[in-house]
Amino acid sequence: MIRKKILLLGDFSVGKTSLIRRYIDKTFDDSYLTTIGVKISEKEMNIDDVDLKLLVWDVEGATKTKKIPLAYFKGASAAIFVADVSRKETMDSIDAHVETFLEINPNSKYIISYNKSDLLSKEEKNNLILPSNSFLSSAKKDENIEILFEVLAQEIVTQYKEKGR
Amino acid sequence: MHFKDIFNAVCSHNLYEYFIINRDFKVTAYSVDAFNYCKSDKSENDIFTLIPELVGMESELQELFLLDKCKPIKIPHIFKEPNCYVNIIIKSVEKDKCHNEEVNSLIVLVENTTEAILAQQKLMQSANENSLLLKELSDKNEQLSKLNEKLEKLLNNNDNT
Repeated sequence: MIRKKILLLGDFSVGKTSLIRRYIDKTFDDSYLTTIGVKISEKEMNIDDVDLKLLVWDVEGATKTKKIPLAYFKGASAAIFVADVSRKETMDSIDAHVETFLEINPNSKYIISYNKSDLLSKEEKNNLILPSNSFLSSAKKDENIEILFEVLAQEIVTQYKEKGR
Repeated sequence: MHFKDIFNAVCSHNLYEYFIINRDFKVTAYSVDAFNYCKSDKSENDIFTLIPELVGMESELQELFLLDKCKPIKIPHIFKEPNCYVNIIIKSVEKDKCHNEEVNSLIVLVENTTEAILAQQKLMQSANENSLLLKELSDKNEQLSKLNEKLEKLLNNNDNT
């Protein structure tokens, strides 16, 4: 079994904890509870005959006054960057999060989740232009949650097979 | 006094626990209640299974065994079930730098910070909620201003006709 660390990163209150709860526990809670520090959850899967244990780091949200400790970034194989589609500033800050992450983990994979899609109208959804490595998701409606983690896990396994580590 | 005795004395206050690991990342010693922070029992000796927060940091830990790279690693504010927070600090157990003795062990210190973090959590919760409320207010104000502008234009048009 190989063990790999993945991070969920983004501004506060974008739904990082909800994404993880939906993926791991299949639950959703509408109330907002600020994450402090980091909480690690585990998920085992088998991809292309490789047993993989994902260590999913639910990292506290960044704010203007509180930066994320860089120690959290070390040794991460991948990251999911999360933004709230109803708050433009959280989408604008994705690039900065990605840059910080890649500075420490230049060879790591990442994917972007534009979360809370349930807050958008059908028209707004259609007008949204997303980058190629991203998904419109909703932890509340359980939309595109599994695929976020599966795509990333697949990339981790492919990289592991290529590099043999 | 042996460092282990000193540590056990400190650890008796339940604020600090520790594991000592060797170059193979196997636990060679631990404080009495160290396993309270782990899902596995005392038969497990792989530090990555006991402290999964260290997975991925193998090369950083290897560096700590080098005499000239003794800066400790600190991973702050880690939530542990059922409801506590810890800092994890990893430091090399230096023998005698003057005689260039090799570092053969690392100490993984688990510091309980639950009380401070829970207080911080309350503050952050209200700060973030306030920030969201302010944002919502500002958005609504903007919407109202736009509506007012439209109304004004409509009224002006009516006056002109």
